[in-house]
Amino acid sequence: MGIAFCFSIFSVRPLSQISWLGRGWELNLGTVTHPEYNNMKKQLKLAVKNRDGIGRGPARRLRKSGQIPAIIYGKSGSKTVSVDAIAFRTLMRSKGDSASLVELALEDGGKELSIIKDFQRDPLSTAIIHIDLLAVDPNVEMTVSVPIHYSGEPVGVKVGNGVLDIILHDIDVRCLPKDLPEFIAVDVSELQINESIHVGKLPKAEGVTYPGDENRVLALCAAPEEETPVEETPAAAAATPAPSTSTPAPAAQK
Amino acid sequence: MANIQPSRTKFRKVQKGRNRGNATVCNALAFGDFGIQALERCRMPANQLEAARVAITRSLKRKGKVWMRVFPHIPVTKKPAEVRMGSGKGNVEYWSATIKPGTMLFEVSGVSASAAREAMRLADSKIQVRCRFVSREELEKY
Repeated sequence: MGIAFCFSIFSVRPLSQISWLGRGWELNLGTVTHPEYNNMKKQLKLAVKNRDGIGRGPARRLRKSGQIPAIIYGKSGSKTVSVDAIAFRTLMRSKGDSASLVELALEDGGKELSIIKDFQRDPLSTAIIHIDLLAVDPNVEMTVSVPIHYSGEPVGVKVGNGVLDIILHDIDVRCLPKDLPEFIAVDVSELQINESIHVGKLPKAEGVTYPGDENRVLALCAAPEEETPVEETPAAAAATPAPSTSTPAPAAQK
Repeated sequence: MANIQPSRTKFRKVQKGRNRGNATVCNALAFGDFGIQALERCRMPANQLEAARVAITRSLKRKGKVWMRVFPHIPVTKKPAEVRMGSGKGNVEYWSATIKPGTMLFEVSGVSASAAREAMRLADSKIQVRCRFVSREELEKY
C-alpha cells in the first residue's frame, strides 16, 4: 500500500523531497530497491599535502598540528603526504562500512585515484595515526578488501538456539576500479545448526572475482555450547607445585 | 572454580620482568563484535580472568560466543609466611597474565549490544584494572 502511494505522488514531487520513504530506500524506474542490492560506487574526495620529514618526531609534530601522516604507494612509487584529521574523519563517516574509491587532490593540482588500503589507530585514544593509500590505475585490476554485510537471523538461532559465528567480516576481491562493490550482502537467514556459508557461495558480480580458496568459511551456525567445568589434568597438576606449604621458621631461631 | 593455567611449561619458575609501554598486539577487536579493553597495566591473576569469564557466560545465558584474548602464562612465586630470606625462590602461588593499557581482554559476538555491554560491565567488576567497552560498530563510525 505504501508503494502504491509512492507512485501516486511521484509525478508531483521529486524523489528527494519524499522524506517519509525512509532513509536508504529509493525508487528506480518504477521499482523499489534497497541499497543492499544496489552496489553503486561512492567516490570520495580528499585533499593531501606533501610532507618532508619522516620518522617519529616529524610525525608526532604533524599529529599535534591536526594532520595525519599518510603514504601513497602504487606502481609509480611511493610518496609521503599528510591529511587533515577533520577532513579524514568526515570522509570516513560518509564512507561508513564500505569500500570506496578516493580521489586525491594533490598539492600540485594533480589528481590521483586511490583506495584506503589500511590505517592504524592508537589503541587507547582510538585516534587514527597513519593512513596507507594505494594508488590505483582505472584500467588495471586491483585486489581490495570489501566488507561483508550479513543480514537476517538464521533458522538455527531462532529455532535451535544456536549461535551465529561470523568468521570473515571482509574479503579480498579482485576487480577493476569501476567494478568495485561497496560491500557484499550475504543473507544468513536460512542457515541451520552446523551449517556454514563458504566463499564459493558468494554472489557473483560481473568483473569481480574472489581470489583464494573457495572453501573458506564466511559464517557458520554453531550448536549451543554446554558449559563444562575445566578439570585439572594430571599433567597440569604436576606442572604446578602446590601452594606454599613450607613450615614457617620457628620463632626461637630468630 | 577451575584454575586456568598452562598444561605444561618448560621452566617451573620465571623472573618477574617489567611491564612497560602500551599493548602493541592484542589491542583491537579480532574475532567478536564487542569487547572489553584494559586501560591500565597489571599482573592479572588467573582467578580474576576466570571470574570475569564466568560472569560473561552467565550473563549471556550461554548465548553468543566468548573469546578470552589473554592467558595466564606467568607463574608467580611466594615465600611462606614467617620464613627467613634466602634458601632459594619460593613456591608457585598462582598464574598471571601481563596486562598493558590497550589489551583486549574478552570479546563477544552473536548477542545484542545491550546484552554485551551488561556482560562486560559484570566482567569489569571482577578484574582489578579499569576497562572500557568497545564495539566494532562504534569504531567503524571513526
